[in-house]
Amino acid sequence: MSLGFTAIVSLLVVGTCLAIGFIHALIWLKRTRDTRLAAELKSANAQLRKAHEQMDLISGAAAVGMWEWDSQRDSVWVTDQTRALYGFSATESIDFDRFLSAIHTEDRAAVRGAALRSLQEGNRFQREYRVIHADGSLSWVLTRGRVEVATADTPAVLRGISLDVSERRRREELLQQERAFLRQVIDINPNLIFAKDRAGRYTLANHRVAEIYGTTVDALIGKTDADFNDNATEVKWFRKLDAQVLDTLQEHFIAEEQVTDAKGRVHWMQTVKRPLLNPDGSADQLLGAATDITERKQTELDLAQQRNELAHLSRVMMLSELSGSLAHELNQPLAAILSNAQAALRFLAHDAPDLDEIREILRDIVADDKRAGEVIQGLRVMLKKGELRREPVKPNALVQDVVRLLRSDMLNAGVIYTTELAPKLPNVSGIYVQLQQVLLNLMLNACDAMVDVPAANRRLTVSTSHDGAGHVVFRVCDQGHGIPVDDVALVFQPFFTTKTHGLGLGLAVCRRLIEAHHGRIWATNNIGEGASFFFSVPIKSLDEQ
Amino acid sequence: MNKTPPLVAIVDDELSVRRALERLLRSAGVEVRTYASGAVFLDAIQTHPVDCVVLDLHMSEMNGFEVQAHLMRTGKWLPIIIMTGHDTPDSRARALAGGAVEYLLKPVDDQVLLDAIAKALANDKP
Repeated sequence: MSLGFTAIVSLLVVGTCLAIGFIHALIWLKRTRDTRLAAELKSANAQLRKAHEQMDLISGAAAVGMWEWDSQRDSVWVTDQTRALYGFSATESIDFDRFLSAIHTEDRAAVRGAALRSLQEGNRFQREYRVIHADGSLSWVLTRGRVEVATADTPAVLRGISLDVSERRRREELLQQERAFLRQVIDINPNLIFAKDRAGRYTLANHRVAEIYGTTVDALIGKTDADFNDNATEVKWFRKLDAQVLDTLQEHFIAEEQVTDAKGRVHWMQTVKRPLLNPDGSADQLLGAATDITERKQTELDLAQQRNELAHLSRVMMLSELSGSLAHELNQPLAAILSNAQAALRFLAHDAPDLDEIREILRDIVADDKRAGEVIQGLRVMLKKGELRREPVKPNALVQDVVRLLRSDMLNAGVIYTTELAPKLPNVSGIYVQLQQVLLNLMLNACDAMVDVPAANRRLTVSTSHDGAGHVVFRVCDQGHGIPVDDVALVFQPFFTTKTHGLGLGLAVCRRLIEAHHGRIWATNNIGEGASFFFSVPIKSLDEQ
Repeated sequence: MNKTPPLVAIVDDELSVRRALERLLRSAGVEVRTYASGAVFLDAIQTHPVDCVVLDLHMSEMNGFEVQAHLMRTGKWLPIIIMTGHDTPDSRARALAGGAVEYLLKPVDDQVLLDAIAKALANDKP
């Protein structure tokens, strides 16, 4: 029994000892594990700190703020750069609301929504927003982030970077302002300003272009003239010129061209087109500017009409002065015709008429009749009203025609005339009847200027020469009393006259006619007796010859 | 008596008029010489005198008045018939004052011219 009890006690003691030992062992084991875990935790924290320190360094060096938002703990870790960016103090702990509080109120809700959406959907986050600083100043911050999940479905961390883009935003705003300013500059311009690509599509247009085409600037961009202009001829012309500018890489000046607007009205434009050169010297676009010269053109047309009417009136008046010469010009062939016809009748009455002679007489009658017809035709041209066309005019032939026309008048006035015509003169560009009128007028004036001069001194010389600068110069030189010195510049003024008859319009009309020919008319007193009147007319350009 | 046909000079600087007048006078049996200018005519009559001259007024080098004046100056009396296509009261008066037998206007009828020549030849002495 006692053995049994002892044994039991012993067993109990051993058991207790074992149990205590086991418990100790367990406690030891736990302590050991805790120590290891603590060490591991300590190590992990150290690593994290080290990583944060490294991120801080990198963040500072790159001037990029870094951050992590633990959404579940609502704790935001930021680098010093981020604190500086958002105006957080060096020590304050930051949660999501504190982060949002730094953002401009107008941008805050959008940033909050975007951040939460990213967390929810696992998307990347990117926003640009304004940050308000303690001093009230604003800076623009660009933030990019991505979501990192701790477990399969639980979003845990939104991690990313922030950087100050205020300078870029400032430049963009400046650029925007400059663009808006330039836009206003080109839109306020009453001229048409545009750029087109090789396909004729507008890449730039100002308000005036849109107005002409009855559309908006935005609607015009990417479209061509054909989309807005029903006049196929005009569109074809624009395309041709545009291609020429882009192919030749040369600026083109178009003195006059027509554009039909959205309401079907025709506008006259003066246009410059210039290639927009790429760095390699080629061009894919052209820049154009067109001035609406419709009003000027209309004024010019009105003035031209008035000028033509005045010139016509002046010609009619001059013709009355020339009636004697014209009668002579016509009477000469008529005299020949009549005498020839009467001679033929007489020959035919002979017993054996010489038919060869009769035939010859008839030929002469035909020729003289034609000549008389030409005189009449010349008169008709001089009396013609309305639009007159420019044509190549032979300067010396013009002088000879006018001299022939005036010959008998000069003869009656006792004027001895000579011509000094430069050989091989090029043609001038002009309206024949108007140049004839100017020369006639100057020659008639020259004759009038010598009325009081002794007959032997009534000498008139008409000469032509090349000025070497693209003009043929006509000179009418008389031996009269000259122009009173003070009046030399005034003789071309309307109503200026030294004659007892006449309105004083002849030279004023001459000046207008010559100026309309892009020429010049002037007068000088001769060194000896009399005066010389000159006018120059541009030589016809080669492509017009 | 063998009557020689009258010899008439035509002075006109236009060929077509000279030719026509020459034919007309020839068709009427008048002998004709033509001259293209007053100077040539004055020179020619030194050696080849004529009975009458039909003289145009409006010629480019030497006009009819000058020819008339030259004949007057040199004392060569010759019946002159002036013909002109450009009539003015002054020129008519001047021509007649200068001794012209007739002052005719172009175009002139054949009979008028022939009558004028006949008249001139009948009065071929002052």
